[in-house]
Amino acid sequence: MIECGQANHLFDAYLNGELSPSLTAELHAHVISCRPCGQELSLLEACGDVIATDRIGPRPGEDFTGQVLAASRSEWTERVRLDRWRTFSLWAGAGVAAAAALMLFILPLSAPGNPDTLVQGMRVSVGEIDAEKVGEPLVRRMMLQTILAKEALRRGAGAVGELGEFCVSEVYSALQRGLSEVDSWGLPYFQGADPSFAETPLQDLLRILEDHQLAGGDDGLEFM
Amino acid sequence: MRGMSDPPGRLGHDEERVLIERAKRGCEDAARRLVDAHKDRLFAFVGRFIRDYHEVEDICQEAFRRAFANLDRFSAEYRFSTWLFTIGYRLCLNLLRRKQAVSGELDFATVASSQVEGPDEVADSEEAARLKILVWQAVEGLTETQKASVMLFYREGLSCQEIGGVLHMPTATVKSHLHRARQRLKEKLEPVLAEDWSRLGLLSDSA
Repeated sequence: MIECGQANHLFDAYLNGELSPSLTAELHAHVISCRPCGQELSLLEACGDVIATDRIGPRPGEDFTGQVLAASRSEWTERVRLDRWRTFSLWAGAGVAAAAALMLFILPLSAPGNPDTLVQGMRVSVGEIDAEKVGEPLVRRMMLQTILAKEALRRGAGAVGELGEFCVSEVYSALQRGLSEVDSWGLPYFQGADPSFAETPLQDLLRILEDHQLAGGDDGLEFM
Repeated sequence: MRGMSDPPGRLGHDEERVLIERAKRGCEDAARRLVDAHKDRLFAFVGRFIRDYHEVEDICQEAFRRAFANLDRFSAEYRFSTWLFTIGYRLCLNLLRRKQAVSGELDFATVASSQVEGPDEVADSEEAARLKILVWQAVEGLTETQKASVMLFYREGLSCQEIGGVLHMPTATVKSHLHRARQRLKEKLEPVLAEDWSRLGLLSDSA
């Protein structure tokens, strides 16, 4: 049997519901036989019961819920509206990016044969090349990829820009990076520079042109 | 020991989670149900710290407003009530610090019109009613932290760990506050009730 001091020491754990079953049984046995300890524990339990069950205290008025909702409404609806815009912008940005990627990588492969078009006000023509002689797949691939990729990226950037303040910065910057990348190799190529990145395909092209005695003269590529 | 079970009006955890998700998406009906399910408990809790009814009402309204404004940050692993009490407790402390006053006995005359007597009050015996008054007077004499610990433990049925989350303190500190609160309640009540032990039925004479 435990002593009063030990029993008192267990009161808190017992009241907190943390006492093991064996110690609980020991404590019960003690308080049944010890009047002061029993009194003290009963008092503490009674306090807990009153606090837990007594409903005295202020109660909300009938219109309290309405007041809370009215006070929260403007801030809350604004947040919900912004959430919806954010979601829409994310999906729209992703759609634009997907469309740009589609145009960049898939459409060039199935584009029509005549690649004449304008790029930044510059007329690009390969119409006078004998496609069969100079290797049509290579020329078409290089020219069309450049033209269509730039066009697709420009459209993507434009679409993202229209989203205004809600645009997704990541998508926007990704499109800009893509545009810069194309610029970095596309324009020098058109302007007659020697793009190192395209060195291998250009070497192939030059070799084909030489084979057909087209290199060094009127190469049929006219840039205006 | 804590003999409290969840009253029938309280929301289950799953139901509460669904309501919070709906409220996040702007469903006003869900928000209304959340307010209705928690407003009485929040009022009772805040009313232990603040004596003025209108201030209690303002704090409760502000607690709900902040809760709804920050629903995105609410983690579903916690109970909405725990979060609400955390906000309410902070608002109480802020107000008390501003006023440099501690709450005394509630002026229930000013809130009589909004009081609803439960069946337990109606059935109270004179002795039990006296005990309740004495207990609440003793509770009023506790420190704010002790009062909050006692209210959350007994009234809300929170564990010491959950109370630590609300009051921003370690579990061991909560247990220490509960221990001291019980000691103070005992010290205040024991002399007053000494003459009434047998009449109140708190003790078995045969013990």
